[in-house]
Amino acid sequence: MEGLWQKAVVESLQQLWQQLLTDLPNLLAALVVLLVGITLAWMVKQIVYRGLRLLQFDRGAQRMGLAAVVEQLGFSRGSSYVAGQLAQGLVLFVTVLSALNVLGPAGTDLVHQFFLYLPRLLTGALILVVGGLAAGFFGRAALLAGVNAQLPFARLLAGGVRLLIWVLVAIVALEHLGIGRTTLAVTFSVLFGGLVTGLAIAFGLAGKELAKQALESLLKRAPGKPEDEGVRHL
Amino acid sequence: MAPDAVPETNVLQAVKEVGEADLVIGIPSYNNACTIGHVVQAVTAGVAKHFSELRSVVINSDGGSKDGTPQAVLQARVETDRLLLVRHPLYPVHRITTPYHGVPGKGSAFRTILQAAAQLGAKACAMVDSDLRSITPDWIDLLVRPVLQSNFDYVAPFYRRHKYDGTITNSIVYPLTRALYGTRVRQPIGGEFGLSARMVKRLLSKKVWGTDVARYGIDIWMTTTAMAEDFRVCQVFLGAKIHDPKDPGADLAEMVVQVVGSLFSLMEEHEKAWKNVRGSVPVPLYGFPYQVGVEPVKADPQRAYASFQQGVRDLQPIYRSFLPSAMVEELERRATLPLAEFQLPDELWVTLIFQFAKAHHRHKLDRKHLLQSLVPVYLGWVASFMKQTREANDEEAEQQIEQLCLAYEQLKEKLVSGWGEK
Repeated sequence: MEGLWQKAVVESLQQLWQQLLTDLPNLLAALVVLLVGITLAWMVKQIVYRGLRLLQFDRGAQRMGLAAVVEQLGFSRGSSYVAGQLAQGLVLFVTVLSALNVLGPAGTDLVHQFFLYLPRLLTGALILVVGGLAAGFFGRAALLAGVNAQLPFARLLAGGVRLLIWVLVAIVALEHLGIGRTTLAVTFSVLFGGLVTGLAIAFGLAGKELAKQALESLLKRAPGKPEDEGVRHL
Repeated sequence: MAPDAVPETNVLQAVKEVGEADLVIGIPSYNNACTIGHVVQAVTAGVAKHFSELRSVVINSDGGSKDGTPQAVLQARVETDRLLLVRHPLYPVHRITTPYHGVPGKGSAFRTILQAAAQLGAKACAMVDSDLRSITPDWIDLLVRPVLQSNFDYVAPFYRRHKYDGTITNSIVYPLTRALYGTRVRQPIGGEFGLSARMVKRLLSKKVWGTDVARYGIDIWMTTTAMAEDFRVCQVFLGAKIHDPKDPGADLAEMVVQVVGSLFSLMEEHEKAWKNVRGSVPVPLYGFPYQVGVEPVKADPQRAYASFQQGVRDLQPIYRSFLPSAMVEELERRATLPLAEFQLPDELWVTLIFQFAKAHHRHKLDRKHLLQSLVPVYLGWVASFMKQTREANDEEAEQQIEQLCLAYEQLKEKLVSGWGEK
């Protein structure tokens, strides 16, 4: 009984203690790295946020359409704030990687793998940002064209354009990251094909009269003709 | 081919052959074979009748017409013996037709004509549109004489128009240029102009010929340059302007983007010239104003109002990105009214235009999108104006425009304040 106790508990605890003594410096070092990193990240966020505010970055972002993307993504505190948050996140990320590196060979391996994946991750993020800008721009262009042509479904059209671009962008980004390549392509094809076919059948059967009226009305007065309102504009 | 007609692809070579001239008449064209012959005849007869002692050149600058416009220019004949001229011309009227180079558009055509005028040492230059049906030989006298006799630098046209003809000019271009530069030029984008040699030289020295202003807004650019740089400006009464209808496929949104976009861009270039101007002064009007029958325009505010309602409803997020909330709410309130009760007061309209101009200046939105979003609001003004002037004759409608101009002038401080803020 005593031998079993000695083997099961005491030796295990001694091993753990030995392990702890061996790893403690690394653990402490990682902890210090984390603390310094967190402080540094907070400082970087403040510097970036205040610096960009001072440089009136929000106005520039608004001009380029970046602010609309930021808003669409659910951030309501402005582009400078988001840039500050991103900078903080980046520093925190580097901090965690550094801490893992300090921990030993297992951590180093993890970091190595991450750095191999990093270019793909950054490209994926870039695809999302550019795609978001494109979705906002083309959605707005479609809305304005629809409204100026007096199409009753202008908002729906704009929403459709935006959604289509976002879906395409998401697929391209995920494809780039190597996530669910085949599944995504098949899911998209099935969903999109199904949706289009469904809509065509629904419109053909239920909206036959409506379609006829809409087409007749469009053909009778092509949008934007100067005489539409009965005036000569220039 | 008429005598003295020069079909020349290189205009400078043709100009060299002519040598010198006192007067240059330019006719920019693009697929105007149906009307340009009549314009060339009127111009040639006008030169023979009124400026028989001057050496004159008629230049057609063509944008690559496919309908035989240059041939129509060269073949147009004027039988001077049927004109009953008091004095017979001392010099033949040279005629040159040339394709222009540079960015496509009226601006490049103008530049070619202005360069030729400068090289020929012309004392005066006039431009007339090639789609005119109502031009008479007297138009040349009216456009050129103020330059030669009274030393004016820029002669703008003054037409009689139907109350619903030229609504963009009446609601934005005329009142805004008048309030900005303090000069009352009634048709700033008229299409017919007279220019002095000094003005020609100044226009050619500007670095604008490769830009969108040259492509789309050359008329308003010339008028603005004359007003902003204190050239001597006058107007001449030309009667009614009847011309071929514009391309029926021409899109209203595109018209607004081009014309209002050029106007707003010029506000940036001439900021110093307009910021301190208050009120406006009339511009001398020459010629003999007479009543003319103008082409009737059938107007119906219903469709314009429906467009306004849809625009205010659907474009609300866009408007909220650059208009004050109170203004958007006011537009929304008015868009819910039945047409019988709807009105867009001058003050609201003027303030809206100023807000659009400021947003354009500050790049609050992609500029083309910003200007496209102006279209429904503009149609709201059109609907309101039609309702207000349904029973009014053209003179009474003109009084309404005058009231609108005064509102622009009185509210100008709203435009100036905060203009520089970025």
